[in-house]
Amino acid sequence: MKRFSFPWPASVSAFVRLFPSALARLLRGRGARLALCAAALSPLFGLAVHSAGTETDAALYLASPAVGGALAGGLAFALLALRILGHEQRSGMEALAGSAVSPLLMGCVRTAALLLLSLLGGMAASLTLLLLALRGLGSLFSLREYACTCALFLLPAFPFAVLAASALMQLTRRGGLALFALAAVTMASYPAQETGAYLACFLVPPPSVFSSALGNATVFRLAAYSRFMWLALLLGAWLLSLMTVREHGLGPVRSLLLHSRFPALPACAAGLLLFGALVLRAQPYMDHAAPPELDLSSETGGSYAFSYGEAEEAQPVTLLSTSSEVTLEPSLGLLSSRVVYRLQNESGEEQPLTLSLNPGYTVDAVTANGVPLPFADLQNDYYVGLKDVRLTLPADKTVELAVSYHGSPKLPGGTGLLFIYQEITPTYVALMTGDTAPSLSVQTAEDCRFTARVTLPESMALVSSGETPKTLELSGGLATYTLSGAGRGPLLFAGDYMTLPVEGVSFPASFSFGRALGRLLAEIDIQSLLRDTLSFCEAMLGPLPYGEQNPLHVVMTSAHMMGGGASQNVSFMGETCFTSANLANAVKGATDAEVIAHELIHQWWGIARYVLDEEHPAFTAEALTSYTTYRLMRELHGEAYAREHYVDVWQEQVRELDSSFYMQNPQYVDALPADAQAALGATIFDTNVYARAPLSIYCAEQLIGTQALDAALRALFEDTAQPFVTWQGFLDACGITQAQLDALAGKGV
Amino acid sequence: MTVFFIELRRLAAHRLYAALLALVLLYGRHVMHTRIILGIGGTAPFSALSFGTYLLNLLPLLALLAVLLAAQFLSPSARALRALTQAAPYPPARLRAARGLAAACALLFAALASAAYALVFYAITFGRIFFS
Repeated sequence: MKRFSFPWPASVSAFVRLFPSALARLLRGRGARLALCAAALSPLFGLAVHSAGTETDAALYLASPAVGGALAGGLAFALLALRILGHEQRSGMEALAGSAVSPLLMGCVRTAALLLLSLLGGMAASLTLLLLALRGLGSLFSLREYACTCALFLLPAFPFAVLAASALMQLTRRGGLALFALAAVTMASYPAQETGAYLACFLVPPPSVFSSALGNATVFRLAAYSRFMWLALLLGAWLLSLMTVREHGLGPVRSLLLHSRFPALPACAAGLLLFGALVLRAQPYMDHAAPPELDLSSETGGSYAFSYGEAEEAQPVTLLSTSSEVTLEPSLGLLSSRVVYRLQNESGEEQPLTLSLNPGYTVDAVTANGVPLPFADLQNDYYVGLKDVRLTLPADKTVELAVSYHGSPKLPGGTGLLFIYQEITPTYVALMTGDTAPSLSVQTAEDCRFTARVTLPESMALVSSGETPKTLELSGGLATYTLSGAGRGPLLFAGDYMTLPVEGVSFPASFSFGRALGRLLAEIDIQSLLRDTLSFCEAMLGPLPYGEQNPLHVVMTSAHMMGGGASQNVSFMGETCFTSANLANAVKGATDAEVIAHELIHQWWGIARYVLDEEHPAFTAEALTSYTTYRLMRELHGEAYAREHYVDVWQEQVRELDSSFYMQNPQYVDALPADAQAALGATIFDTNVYARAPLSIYCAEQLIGTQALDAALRALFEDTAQPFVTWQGFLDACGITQAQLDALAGKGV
Repeated sequence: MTVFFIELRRLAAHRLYAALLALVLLYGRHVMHTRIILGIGGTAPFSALSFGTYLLNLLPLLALLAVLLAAQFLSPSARALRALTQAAPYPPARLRAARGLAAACALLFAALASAAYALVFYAITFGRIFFS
């Protein structure tokens, strides 16, 4: 038998000859025109159904039309591809057409024509998106953000849908079956959008909440990686399906074997599929931490609260101070740092230490008093966003431990959500203390101080914990700052920030927000909310220890950050808390205004006073902060409002958890897959920490009265002789017992 | 009756139907293991609410299956046979009714198969097959 050899020049010239007529024929058909119209209108569908949320203007007018447009337009082109590729089979002309032109070649030509048409459709949809974004965003519109959204969310969906539909059609030769399979896969991957599994969705990656003011480079990086991976996988799958195109009346397997004689085809298909699998395996954005193990006997379900101040056992090694030098490359999302820890080793012996840092960082070198130290990176990614590096501290009494590391912070992979807290982008930087000075398994001296040098683009305004940053150097478009303050290391945010003072409180306080949102924030009088919160807590609990050199900073962070947090003299909360729609909504206002107040109140409970009880792990700063937030809302909006949005909500959450199936029947928990167990653990944690614990404090108020409780809380806040506020300490301050509280709870109060 | 069974066999004793049924069951398994297993509204995974939610999640796919089954009777091969079937001494209305009933039975079987999967899953995992 004559050996086949792929006649490259003849095939290419045949392709070039056939392509224009195939494209012209496609364009003449009604289906193509309908698909183009559907594509052009598809962003309107996304806008109507809010497919990417409405928390920010960018989410509503940029992300939602793009995601919805990708889904609707992709479906339109998938249907068109199924119709076009099944045309000869439906009309019974397969044998005739196959004798004139190789079905393999015709498959390539038709798919190429469909791909070109889909790109035209994508461009039409992009134009519609441009008009929607210009009209909806107004002054918030950014050409770069729009271009990235189009290029990564909207445009690729159309050719990807064509490739997927073509591959299924070529494989099955059944339009109905191919459509069914496509629908099933798309619907099955849809919940992944909610859980942030950014690589799971082939049509459009989950967008997270778009920021209107601080850029979305992190989200675009995730999307670009996802699109790159799916391009390889879909092309490989399409090439594989092309080899199963029926020829000479053969079935799919024999056609595959026949076409395998063109070595380039199986080689390319296998190569692309393998490459896509490798890209999936090597994804650099999320760590490999397993979800936390469920522990039904624990109040927190096995997770731990983000306690401010860990209970440190007496250690022979003490951290006296740190000095860091942090350099950022925002365009690449990279950080490189050298941290020098001044340690005191009282034991006179070598001490094993553990350095805990984000799994995205690689430790380059460790020295102790200038002598290189061996270290072992355990690569044991664990919840939440950490890994351990083990080393042995020499026996010297005073040790300067220098750790050099570099990398890009990874997102926690075991949470089931897109948890973007740290970012390094050209328009926004957010770094936590663990990024600028990773924690060591030592005890921290009470007077421990940090100094740090941070280099950033000059265009980015810096807000950091500790004392006011001093500008050291400005050159070559970069600015170098020195930071200093109490604690292990600084927390910092940088971006196009504008900072205004918060008037009407007894200590210096400022509010930093994205400059682009200045006008909108002025309209909703955010300063009043901040002032009311700070004044209320100061009156109830006492002033915060901040001064001119060390003021309180309230920072609006990117919308990517869920909720917020507090560390040292910085309270931060996500951009979504500050939109007029969210704050003006009487129902939703309880959620978003609460987040702002909640994070501010953490300055009292969590920063100024640590709350930690190892016997009652659900009693944390969150309990006292949530209760104090309820009291603030009661003061601002009245008893009925506060009861409806806080007490009733807590009671309902507790009742739901206690009566839920797995809490009533723990013997079935083992039947759950690991991620379902983690989800259950998260529910237990949320309910006990954020609802049951503050409800217990509310019950204490019912027992002893508001004034007596306020006196007890003030006494706990001022009692700095105790390192932590504990649950028993709270009961003692109130003069009540657990039994009294349980009796009251049993009455359904 | 014979015509009904012939139409039913044309639809169901077919690789396409087997493939579609397999896809429905695979999707049902995915829904059960990701969304239903934790229970809906704090109820048991085998509660009426959870089971109903499971079926609700399958509804779009079953609707698409119904469309595809109906489309079988409008396929080019079916249209090509129309001249032959119309020449047969069989009332066209009864033929259409038989075909519709066959499609409905095929769809019902797919729905029952999905429900049966759920019940088998409940029995194996929780030792229960009745709602509570």
